[in-house]
Amino acid sequence: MARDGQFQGRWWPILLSLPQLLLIFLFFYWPVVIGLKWSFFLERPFGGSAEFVGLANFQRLFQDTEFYAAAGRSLVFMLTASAATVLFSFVLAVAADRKLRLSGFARNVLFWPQALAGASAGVVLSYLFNPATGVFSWLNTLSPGLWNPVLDGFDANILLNIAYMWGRIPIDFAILLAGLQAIPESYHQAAAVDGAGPWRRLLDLQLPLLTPQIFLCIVIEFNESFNQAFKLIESMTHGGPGNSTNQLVYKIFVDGFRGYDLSGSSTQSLILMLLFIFIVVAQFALLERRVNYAR
Amino acid sequence: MIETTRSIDRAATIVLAIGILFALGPFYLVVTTATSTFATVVQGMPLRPGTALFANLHHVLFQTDIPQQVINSMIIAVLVTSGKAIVSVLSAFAIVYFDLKGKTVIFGMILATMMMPIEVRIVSTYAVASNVFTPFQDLIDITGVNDLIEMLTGMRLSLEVNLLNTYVGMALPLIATATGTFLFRQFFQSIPRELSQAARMDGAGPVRFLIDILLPLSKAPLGALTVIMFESAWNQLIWPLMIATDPRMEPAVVGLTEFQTAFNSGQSPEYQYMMAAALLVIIPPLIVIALLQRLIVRGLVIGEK
Repeated sequence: MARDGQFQGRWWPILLSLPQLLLIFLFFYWPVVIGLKWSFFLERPFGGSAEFVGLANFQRLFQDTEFYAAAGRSLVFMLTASAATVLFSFVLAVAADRKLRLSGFARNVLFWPQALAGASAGVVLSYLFNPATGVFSWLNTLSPGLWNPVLDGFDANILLNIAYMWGRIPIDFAILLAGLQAIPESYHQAAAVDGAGPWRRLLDLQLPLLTPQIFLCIVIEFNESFNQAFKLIESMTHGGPGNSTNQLVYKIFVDGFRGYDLSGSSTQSLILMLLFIFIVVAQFALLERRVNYAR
Repeated sequence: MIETTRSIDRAATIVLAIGILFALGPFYLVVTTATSTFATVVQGMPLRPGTALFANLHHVLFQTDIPQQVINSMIIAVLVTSGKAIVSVLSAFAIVYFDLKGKTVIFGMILATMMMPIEVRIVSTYAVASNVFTPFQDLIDITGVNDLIEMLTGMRLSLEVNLLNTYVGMALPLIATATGTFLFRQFFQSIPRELSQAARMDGAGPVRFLIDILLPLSKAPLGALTVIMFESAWNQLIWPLMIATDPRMEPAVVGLTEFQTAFNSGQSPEYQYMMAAALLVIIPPLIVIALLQRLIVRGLVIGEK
């Protein structure tokens, strides 16, 4: 007996979900299977027979110091970029929630960078922050070479973080502001009657009630910073200077398409996938316990 | 406000002003640079708009592939957006409104695709789209899946090298994601069960219910999702970068990054042209955002439930 409000028919649901299943089979599961196979074979880039090599690809990878370095860079970028984005969005959302004269305008225009997110933001911002004529070029008149993302790896990483933050604030700001505005005015009034000032209410009222939205933002930003890194690196630094922005997502692409090392590249994909799944699970295990869903 | 806290309000205003400056500054400098001459741009970043907009636009429109690439982006973004919307509404409908044994498995299989973005599996996905299709071709020919594809899209997939340099090849793998299915499942589950019960009692079949009742109710999330999908399709980089080898097939964002690549390889940096091109690339998604901004915020609130 079907549950209430559900339709009968054995073939309908299969037919309806078939387009989706077909697409993910073709462009997701099949490539994953091929990638799995490649990581245990030595694949020739221009065809020819593949040779089974067991775990040799993994061995080769674990001896490659650049692999560890790239994985470390990915992790550092994920941490810094998402922390900065969520923090800055939170401060902006709290400010915009105060019904100031600027709030309405801010709510409108803070969404605009969304249109330019990713690679086009990378192109525009690498021009804006170029060492010769960019907005930070005055730093170089103080001390030559103080700001040079083209030659200095540290500056290049700062630039990546700024570009990431610029494109991602819109979404986080919208989510956090919606959460803040859902807190009833009467809570604020009650807290104020009890003598809680604005700072106190921020820490003891708004912050705890906003944990679901903050958690959502952290999860989104972790995943996005992992993915979007490619767009920003390709459009801004190409992994340079001297590998200082060569993150794992970018290394996989370069090894596979520019170095024709299909086996090495898919072995890294496999490890990256495991890492990604681990991070997602860890996020839920560590953070969600602190989230307060009840209002 | 509850109490008069002028100093805090002033601080909040300053914070907002900084945020607005950070958000709008790049747009402003794109405009000023796109309207300036090379002579001005070389000296330093122009802070005031110049008068060379038409000269710069003329160069971009007639000397580069950007106009064609903007059209490509439009086609790809529309294909991806409509494809995703249709495919995910259908699968979410099947999952929520039918009593099917294996539906948790189906949903799990769809959801698992979120675990591995295209950036990570790019090399083998590329292989699938180019030539490894041959063993696969037989499979779908024998099982008749190809006939279904022919019925749906009006053409037979001949799965050889053909997916390279085609709009379909650029769009299809991007349609194959779970986000839409996930959001629509959430939304459909929040709709009272009484609606479908009443529809069934009145003798409506599933298709009738979907078209006449469910879709009109789904306008808000559908709108929000459309915007988000359009923006993300417009800003795709890695897949089109691989699949389009002909500059005239590339989407505009790829064309834009090639300006940067050319500068890096020693060409004199004619930023005024690059920014004029950026202007053309920004405008379509900016219009979409400006028109449908309210929907996005509403859709996000729904999606976060």
